[in-house]
Amino acid sequence: MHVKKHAFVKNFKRCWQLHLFMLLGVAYILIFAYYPMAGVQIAFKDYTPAGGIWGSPWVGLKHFNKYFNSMYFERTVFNTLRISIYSIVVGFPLPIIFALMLNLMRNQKLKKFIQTVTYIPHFISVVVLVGMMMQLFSPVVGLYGSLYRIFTDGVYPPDIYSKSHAFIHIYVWSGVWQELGWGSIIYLAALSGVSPELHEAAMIDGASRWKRVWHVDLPAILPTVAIMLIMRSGSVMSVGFEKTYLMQNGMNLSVSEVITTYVYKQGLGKGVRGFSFGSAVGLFNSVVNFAMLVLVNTVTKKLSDGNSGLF
Amino acid sequence: MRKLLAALLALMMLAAMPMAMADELEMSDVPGMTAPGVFPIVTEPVTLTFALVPQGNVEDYDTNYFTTYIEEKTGINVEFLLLPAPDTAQKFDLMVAANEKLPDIMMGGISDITYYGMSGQLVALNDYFDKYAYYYNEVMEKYGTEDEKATLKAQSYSYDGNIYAFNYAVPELGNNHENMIYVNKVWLEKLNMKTPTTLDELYEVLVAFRDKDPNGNGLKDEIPIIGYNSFDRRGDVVGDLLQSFLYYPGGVGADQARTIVKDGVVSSAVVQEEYREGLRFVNKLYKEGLLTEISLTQKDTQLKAIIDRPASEPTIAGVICTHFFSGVCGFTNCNDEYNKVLEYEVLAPLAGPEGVAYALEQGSGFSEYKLAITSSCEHPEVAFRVLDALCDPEIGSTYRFGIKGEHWDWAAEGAVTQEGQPAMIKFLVAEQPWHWETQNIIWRLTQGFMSFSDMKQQRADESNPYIKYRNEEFYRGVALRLGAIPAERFLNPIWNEEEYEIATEYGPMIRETSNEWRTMFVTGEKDLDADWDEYLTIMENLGLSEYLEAAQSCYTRMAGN
Repeated sequence: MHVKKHAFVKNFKRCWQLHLFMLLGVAYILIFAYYPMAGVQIAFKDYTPAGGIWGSPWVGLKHFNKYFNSMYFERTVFNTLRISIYSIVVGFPLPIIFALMLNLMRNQKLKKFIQTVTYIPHFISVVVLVGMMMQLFSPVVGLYGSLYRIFTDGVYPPDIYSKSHAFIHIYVWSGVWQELGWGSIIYLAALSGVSPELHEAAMIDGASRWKRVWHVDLPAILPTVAIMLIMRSGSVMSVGFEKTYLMQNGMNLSVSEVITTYVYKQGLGKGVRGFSFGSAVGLFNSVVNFAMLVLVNTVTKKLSDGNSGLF
Repeated sequence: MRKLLAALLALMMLAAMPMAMADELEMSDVPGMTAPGVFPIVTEPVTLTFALVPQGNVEDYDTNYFTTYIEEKTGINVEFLLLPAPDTAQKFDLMVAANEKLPDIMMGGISDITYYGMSGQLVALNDYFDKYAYYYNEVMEKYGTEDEKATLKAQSYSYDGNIYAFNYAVPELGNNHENMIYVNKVWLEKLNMKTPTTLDELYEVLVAFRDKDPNGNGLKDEIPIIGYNSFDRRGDVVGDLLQSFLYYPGGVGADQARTIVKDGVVSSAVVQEEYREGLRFVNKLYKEGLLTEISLTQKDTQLKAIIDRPASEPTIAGVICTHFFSGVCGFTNCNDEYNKVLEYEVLAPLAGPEGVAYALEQGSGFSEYKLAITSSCEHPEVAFRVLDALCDPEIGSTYRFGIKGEHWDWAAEGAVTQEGQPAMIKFLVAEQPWHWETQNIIWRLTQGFMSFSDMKQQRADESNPYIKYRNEEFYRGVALRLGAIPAERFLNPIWNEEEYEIATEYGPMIRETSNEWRTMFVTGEKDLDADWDEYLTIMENLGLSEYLEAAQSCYTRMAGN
């Protein structure tokens, strides 16, 4: 123990400049991530503007009980998980497959072109994206309606937005369209690190292209995949707020109300008296996220014999 | 024990001291302030910050005509804090939460006036009204009817007996009934049908619109009836049709449970048998493809794209539910290339099977236009007098309509408004600055203007035939709706602490859940026979009885005021 401490001091002295560099980052995290966490206490208080964060009266688990006992608890948790798991199941493997396919392309120019075309949608703001979808899928004035009506004597197609069961598909697949190219960048980077010698060796052994993808490329990016999966599962309960909120309407609320939108409506939408309740729901959400992160991390570690965990 | 007592006493004195000092400070006159009713209000400039939501067509608030006008007139120095739209109230919530210095005057944008008043962020105005109100009293005396005075008073006081916001009365009929149902009269003529006055007739018209190709292009592209996704205000087809079965409150002043009142007893509209019958009718329209489903999902601007289309394209909407001249959902193009507005005429409230024909009241005009002075204001008496000055008909009209002699002037003796009432002001321009695409004349806010029934405006002659027709039709519709609301209503409830707890605990869920079920009943996802009892049970479990009990005590108290 003593030796260790000594080593640390020695190490610190030797390269204090580097630690000085780090100070900025540490201070940033302390001030903007750790200090605000003290505000979480209002989840256990009845927040009033006069009392502020520290001076408002404690109420224990009142807000949590209110949430757990309301009909919105089941609904928001279920919807959140449903959308989130669907997004992961579809949205997680697709960029990997896409990256592997792109990596196989021989024509470099075409490869670069496809890569650019697929990642550009990432830069479209969510508001614009939802607006575009509303326009496109409008049965009367949209492209969807116009095309449909060519075949039906002018009869309007069913309105996709009024079908609550369509909501999740629109949500997830528009997400895939937007993030596919962007999500594959990190895998492409990992793939470019694969030594050509491995491929050459495999070719000499008579491996087909498919075999090489399976036995050379895939193992090479597996650690990256594992880390990405862990990170992704850390946000399993945080379905993108803006997009869900923008896509909500009177007819899909039963499937589109997720925890984040609910927190917003209760916490900020209802004025200052909703702050505490909103914080309580938000805190619950974060705790579940944290638990998921630890869980998936442990599982991944176990599966890979301790090789690819985050911590 | 004695020590403890001494310490306690000392503590109490400490607590009492700043309050006593504050009291004294508040009511002491600012040096250079003139007597009530005299302009300028201050001879040495006092800076006041106005917090408002910037309006789209205002070029620059700092160089705005009204800004310089009010600065010259009152001697104050105006500064602005621009609030974000649409989540306006959050700005104030967050400013209070962060303990920031608040702007002097909040022009709207407060989520809960009573709450902030009682927790000390807003100045109680009772003494100011006693001491400094001048134009407010004058206007009240001269123009307010007894009924209006009583309503304004009831809507001003919080339950602790304090007035925390300056309450302007704008009972403008046009605003109260801005959403109406219009029918395509060209199609009616073509199909040889008369303008529907009852729901049954409307139903026949809709069927004919669907089946008989009234736009004559051979395609089945007619939309019999359409509105947009909205639950309370404009565009709510379902809500509008329900008015033929019972009074269905939904405007800005309505409470969460859509409480209705009969002989002083409150109940909720959403659990009435008439409500169920109303939904049955709407469900029939939905099932038969008469009420298009996009009415329940689309946005206001999409409705506009469907109705206000170029003349070269066929008309596709038969009956529309909208605000006729709103920029987002009505007819504003109004030129030879966009002339569809001429095809529509307004419907009177439609009589239901039992002869019920109410009209949705969007807002009563009595509690929506409140301005508050915050505790950060150093000279609340000056701020109060500026708010008081806005009640003066001349300053108020300048504030709302623009430059006197250029955009408006006093009306001649005996002039009448479009609704047929005596006019006080006449407009000199057909399109007021309020409706211009850009202007730098007025602040264009709804708050801060008095307009009792006796202060009505006479419109200028309109040269654009499309706009002329549109406005006339709109006001004809408003006139048709006079008196189509029940006398007993539960409007803008001012809860006391106990009632408030109950109302906020149960109210939002009651509103959200009933709205959700309303949609499910309309689309047939839930059956009005098989699932109705389940619905009633759910409403009961959400605390409807408790809520209504609170509403009853609130109503009784407010009615007694």
